[in-house]
Amino acid sequence: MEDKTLSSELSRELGLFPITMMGLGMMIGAGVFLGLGNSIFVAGPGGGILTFALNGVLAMFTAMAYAELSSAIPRAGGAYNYARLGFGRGTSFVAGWMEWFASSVAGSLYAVTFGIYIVRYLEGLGIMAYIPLSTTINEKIIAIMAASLFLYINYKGASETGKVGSFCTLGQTLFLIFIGLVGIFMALKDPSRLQNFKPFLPNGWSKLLVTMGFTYVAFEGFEVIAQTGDEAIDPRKNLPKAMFYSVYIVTITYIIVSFATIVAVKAGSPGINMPPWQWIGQFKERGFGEAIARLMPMGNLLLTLAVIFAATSALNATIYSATRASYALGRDHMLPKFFAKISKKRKTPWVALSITGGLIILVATVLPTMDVASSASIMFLLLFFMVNICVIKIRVNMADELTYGYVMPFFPLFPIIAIICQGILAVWLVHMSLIAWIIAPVWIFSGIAIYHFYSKSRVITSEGEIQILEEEKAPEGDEYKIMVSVANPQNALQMVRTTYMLCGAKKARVELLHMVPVPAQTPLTDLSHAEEYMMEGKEAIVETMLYLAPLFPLSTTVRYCRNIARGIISAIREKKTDMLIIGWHGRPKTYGFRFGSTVDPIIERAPCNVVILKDTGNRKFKNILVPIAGGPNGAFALEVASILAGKEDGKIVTLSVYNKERSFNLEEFINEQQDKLSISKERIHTKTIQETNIAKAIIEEGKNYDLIVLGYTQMPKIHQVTKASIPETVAQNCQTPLLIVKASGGLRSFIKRWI
Amino acid sequence: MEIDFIIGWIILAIVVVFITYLVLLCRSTIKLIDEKKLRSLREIMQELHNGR
Repeated sequence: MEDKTLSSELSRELGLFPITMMGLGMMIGAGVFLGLGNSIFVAGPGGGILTFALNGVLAMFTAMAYAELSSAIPRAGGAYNYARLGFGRGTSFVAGWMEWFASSVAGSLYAVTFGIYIVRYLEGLGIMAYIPLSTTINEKIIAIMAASLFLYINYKGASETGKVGSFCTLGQTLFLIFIGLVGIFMALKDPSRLQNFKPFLPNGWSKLLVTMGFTYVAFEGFEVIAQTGDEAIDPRKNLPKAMFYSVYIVTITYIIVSFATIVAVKAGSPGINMPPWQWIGQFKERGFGEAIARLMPMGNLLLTLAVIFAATSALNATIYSATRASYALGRDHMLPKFFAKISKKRKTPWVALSITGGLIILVATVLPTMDVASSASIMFLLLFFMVNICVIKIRVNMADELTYGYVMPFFPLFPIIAIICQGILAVWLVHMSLIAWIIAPVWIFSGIAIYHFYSKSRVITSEGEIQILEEEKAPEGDEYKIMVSVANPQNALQMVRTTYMLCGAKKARVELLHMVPVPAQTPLTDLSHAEEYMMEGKEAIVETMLYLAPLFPLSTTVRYCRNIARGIISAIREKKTDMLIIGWHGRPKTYGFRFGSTVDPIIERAPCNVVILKDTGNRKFKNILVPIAGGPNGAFALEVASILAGKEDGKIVTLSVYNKERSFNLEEFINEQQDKLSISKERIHTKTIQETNIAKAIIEEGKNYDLIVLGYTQMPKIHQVTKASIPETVAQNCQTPLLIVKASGGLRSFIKRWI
Repeated sequence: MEIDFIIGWIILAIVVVFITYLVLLCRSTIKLIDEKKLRSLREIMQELHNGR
C-alpha cells in the first residue's frame, strides 16, 4: 500500500510563462528592497548599480550551467540530482540538504518581510493602535499567517501554485519597471540629477565584492525553475528558456531600479543636506523605500504594495523549491520515506511540504532573520559553486548517455569563471555576517553526519538505472579479472577463442555480463517481465560457459539498465575488473559516434583495460600487424598481440608509419616492453614505411595479415566530431579482423576522474 | 570627468550588451536543437560546428 503511494507521479502542468514567473518571483523578493540601500551605503552610487549588473552576468553563467543540466536531467531535485550524477550519493545528499535549508530560510525571510511591511502600513492607517501586542509580535504573527497561506496554496497543487505566483510576480515586476522608467524620465527632464553618481565609487572598487555577495540571493531563481522538472511541459526546452528569460528580465529591472533610486533624490532639495547617495545610504535597508517615496506621489503606498507582491511571490516560490528538495531526498530514501509521500487527491508531496512549512515558520519566529538570510546566501553560493563543477564533470564524463535540450557555448569558460567568482563572494560574506559563517558550516556538517549515520545504509541502491536480475558469483580471489560483455549467442561465440587466449595468459577469473536495456518509462524494480527480457542474454551466456567454464573460474550476471554503456562501466567499477572484452559489429549506427553509442563511452571512460573485437571469429592468428606510435595503448596492443601470437606459434610485425612531421624508433620501444611480452624478440619484426595518410597505409598493409591490433587514440570531444581518428578510420574501412585496445590508468584518466 | 565614472558606465553598457547577446545565443541554440531533433552532445556539437 505504501509503495503504491510512493510510486505516484507529479502532474505535468506548468508551461513556459508560469515557470519563468516562478523564477522571477523567487529573485525579486526581499533581496533588492533590502540590498539596494545597503549597497549604496557600502559602495556608493556607482556601486549600487554595478553590483546588480555584475551579479546579473555571474547569475547568467550559473543559469547556463543549470539550463544545460536541467535540459538533460529534467527531474525534481535540481542541484541534488546533478551532484548525484556528478559526484555520487554523499555529495548529492549534502547538496539537497543545503538546498532545502537555503530555500526554507529564504522563505522565512520573505515571510518576515511581508509581516514587517503589512504592520507598517497598518500602523500608518492607525489600525495597529487597537491591537495590544508589540510590533515585533504582530510582525511575526502576520509572517506565520502568510507562510501558512502559501503552504496551503502549494498543497492545493502545481497549477494553482503557478497561477498565484505568476499573478504576484507580474504585478511586482511591472511596478519595478514602472519605477525605473519614472527615474529615467526624471533624469532626462532634469539632467543635473545625474550628478548624484559622482563620486561613482567613493569607497573603491573592492567594496563591490562585499555588496555582490550580500545581494546575490536576489539572483537565485533558477533553482526553483530546475525544481519544476517533473511538472513542466516540454521541460528540455522550457526550463532553459525560463532560466535565461528570468535572469535577463531581473538584471535589466534591477539596473533601471537602481538608477531610479539614485536619481530620485535631488541634491539641495529640502531635507537633503549631504550628497544624495549618502542620504540614501544612511537608511540602509530602508534606503530604497525612502528614495522612491521622493520620486513620485503616493510613493510609500505603491512601494508597500510592491513589497507585498514581491514578498508573497518569493515566499510562494521558495516554499515550492524547498519542498521539492526535501521530497527528492525522501524519494531516494536519504531522508525517511514519508518525505516522498504524494497526496493522491492533490498530487503534491504533502509530508515534505508540512515539514518544510514547520522549518520556515520556526526560523521566521525564532531566529535573527538577517544573519540567517546571510547564511542562506552563502549556501546558495556554495550550491551554485557545486553545480558549476557538476556541469563540467557531467559534460566530460556522461555526455554520450544524456539527451540534451540545450548546451552552453564556450564550454567550459563560463562555469570556470562562475566557480572562481562565487568562491570569492562566499568567502567575502564573512565581512557581512560572522553568525552566518557559523550557521552554514553547522548545517553542512550536520548533513554530512546524517548521511553517514542514517542515509548511507538506507539509500536505494538501484539508483533507478541498474538492476541486477540474476547473479551467479564465483569464489572471490586476488586473481586477474576479465569481464566479457555478451549481447547475443552469435556475438558470444565470436569472442570465445580470443577470450580463451587472453584468460589463459593472464590466469584470469571470468565474469560474463549481459545488459538488458529498458525504456525510461518502465520501472527497473518491476521484474514481472524479467524472463522475457533475459532470454537472449541467458542463451549467450550459456554458449560462452560451455567453452570457458571448464577452464577458468567463471561467474555470470544479467542486469537491467537504462543505458548499456553506463551499466557496463558501473559493473566494471563494482567488480573491480582488470580487463573488459567486448565485440563490435562494424560501422556505428548512431550519427555522431566513432564506434557507436555503446562502445564510445566505454572505451573512453572504462576504468580498466579494454579490448574491442571486430570480425575476429574463431580464427587462428599467426601473422599479426601491430601499428605503433608509442604510448601506453601502443604498449598494451603489443602485449595483447604477443599473447595471441604466442599461443599459435605466430609472429608479430610492428609497423611505424612516418612522414615529414613524425618518426618513431620501433626497436627502442619493443626493447622497453620486452618484459611484458609473451613471445621472444626474434618473433617480433619491425617495418617502417613512409606515407602521409597513416590510416590508409595501415589498411593497405593490413591486407597481408590475419589480424591487426591497434592502440586506441584519445582525442578531445570537439576534435572527435570534426575529424576521424586513425583507429576509427582503420576500423571502419579495413576488411582484416581487428582488435582495438586501450590501457587503463595514465595521467589523463586521473585528471578526468578528479574533474 | 572622473575616471571611475567613465569606466563604470562603459562596464554597465558592456554588461547589458553581453547578457542580451548570451540570451539570444542560448535561445537560438535551444531552437536549433528542438527543430532538428538533436539529442546527443555529439550531434549538437557537430551541428553547431557546421552552422557557426
